[in-house]
Amino acid sequence: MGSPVTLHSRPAEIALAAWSIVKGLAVTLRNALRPSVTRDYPARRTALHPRFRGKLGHKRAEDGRPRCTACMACEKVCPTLAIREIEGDEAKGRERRVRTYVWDASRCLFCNLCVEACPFDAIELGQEYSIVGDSREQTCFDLEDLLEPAGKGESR
Amino acid sequence: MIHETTPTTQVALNMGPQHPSTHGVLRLELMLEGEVIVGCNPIIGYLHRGIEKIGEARSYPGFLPYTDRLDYLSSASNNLAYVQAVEKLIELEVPERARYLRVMLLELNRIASHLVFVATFANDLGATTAFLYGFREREPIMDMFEMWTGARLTQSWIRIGGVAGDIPEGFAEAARSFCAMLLPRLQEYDRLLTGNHIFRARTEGVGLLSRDVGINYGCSGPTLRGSGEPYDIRRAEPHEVYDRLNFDVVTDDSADCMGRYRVRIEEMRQSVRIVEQCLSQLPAGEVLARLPRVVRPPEGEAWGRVESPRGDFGCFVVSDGGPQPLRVRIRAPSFYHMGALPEMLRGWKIGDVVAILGSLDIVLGEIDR
Repeated sequence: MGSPVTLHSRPAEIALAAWSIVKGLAVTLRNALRPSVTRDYPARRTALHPRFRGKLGHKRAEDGRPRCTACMACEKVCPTLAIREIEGDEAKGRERRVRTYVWDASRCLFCNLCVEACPFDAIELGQEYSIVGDSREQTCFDLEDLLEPAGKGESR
Repeated sequence: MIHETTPTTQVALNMGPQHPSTHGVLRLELMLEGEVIVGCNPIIGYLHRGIEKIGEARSYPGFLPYTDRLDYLSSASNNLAYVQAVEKLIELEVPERARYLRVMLLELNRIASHLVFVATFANDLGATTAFLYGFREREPIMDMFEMWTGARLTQSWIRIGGVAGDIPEGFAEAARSFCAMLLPRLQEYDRLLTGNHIFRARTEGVGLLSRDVGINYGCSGPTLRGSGEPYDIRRAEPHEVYDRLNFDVVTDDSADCMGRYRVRIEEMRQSVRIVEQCLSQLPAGEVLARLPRVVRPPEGEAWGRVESPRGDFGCFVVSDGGPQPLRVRIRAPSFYHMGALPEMLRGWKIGDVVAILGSLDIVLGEIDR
């Protein structure tokens, strides 16, 4: 061990100890008067940065339909198979629109690979981060849950 | 043997896997003679997820987010080691700006990781205040990561061919003001911890790891530099733009827990220097090279080596020409430190285990993989 701390009750050391307490309390007082660095989390939430990667969302095109054409690029690129059961309607090519789409939040790594793979800029990782449920089913979201509210897309 | 002991019956004692000072799910099987440790057997694998095997079943870009989950306190260095190996295989030229951004991300990760080390090491030794300080200082970095990459911990931002996105507006200012803020705060730590009698009594001369033993066990990073060996991948095998940056390889000759702690504190100052240099030298240009939709490297094998906050982090990738790696092997520095741990513990008392283990700054995510 290094130099051992001796605890002899000598006057000089008692004075030093008392001075240490005064010094310590001064630090305490200084910090007590500093503005708080913590936040009242559930009551007061801070704004997230726009790039925050949270819950997956489907964007709507100008005509209100989903932008997604069910091309499966996101499903193919997803490393954890969190995106599945993509089906489109009868139309072909760019006119095709997604009909079913399942995103499993409990499998998702929020790695952004699906968003980068999307050729139609149809999906995004949004700002919602509190994705909880009592069962695995409750952390799976289908197209209705993922599609942004109608009306929002038209202004885009 | 350092402590005089009278022969008694040896007792086996399990420390962990739920012990808060084992930094995760590590079990140390300690052989005790009274209070003195005569043997130690680290039992690992509680966090085994088979990440190396997962690598064989994912596409080249698809394995990247998994590497974040190895050394989760500095995900960027894991990303970089893997990405470097793949880039060597496909002989890809990475844009200049991306190289600087990678270094910046890596160094910010290093500061964040070392702050967690200071926080948890002090907390293990009973200094709860320093624990809160460390996490307070780490918060602005996490906020900067969120601003730049959208994620606080597992960024997955380094990509094959560059980085996924440029720094947003306001990031450079945030980084500069953080650097200016951190330096006086590090001085505060020095007064609070480095000069603290209890902290010094528990770390000075404790857990000696001689330079030769460290090298023989394959130790690296601050653990080896704390024993006086100036070995740093950033200098020994400069990756990215480290050869153009000015920084010192910090060493300490004391070879004890205090030495390893001092190296990390000083490394944070050096990382601040690197981040500031990156910000001022940052060239304009692209941040991501063009890649085909499916990455199919030619047959071959390549090593990626990065100086992670824990040491020499390596990733070995073998390609058979297909869209998935044939083999991914990960060299985790903490794993080798685990091998040297029994050497360091022998002869010390059971109360010193948390100090010695804490000074190695292990992360179970990379040990168990």
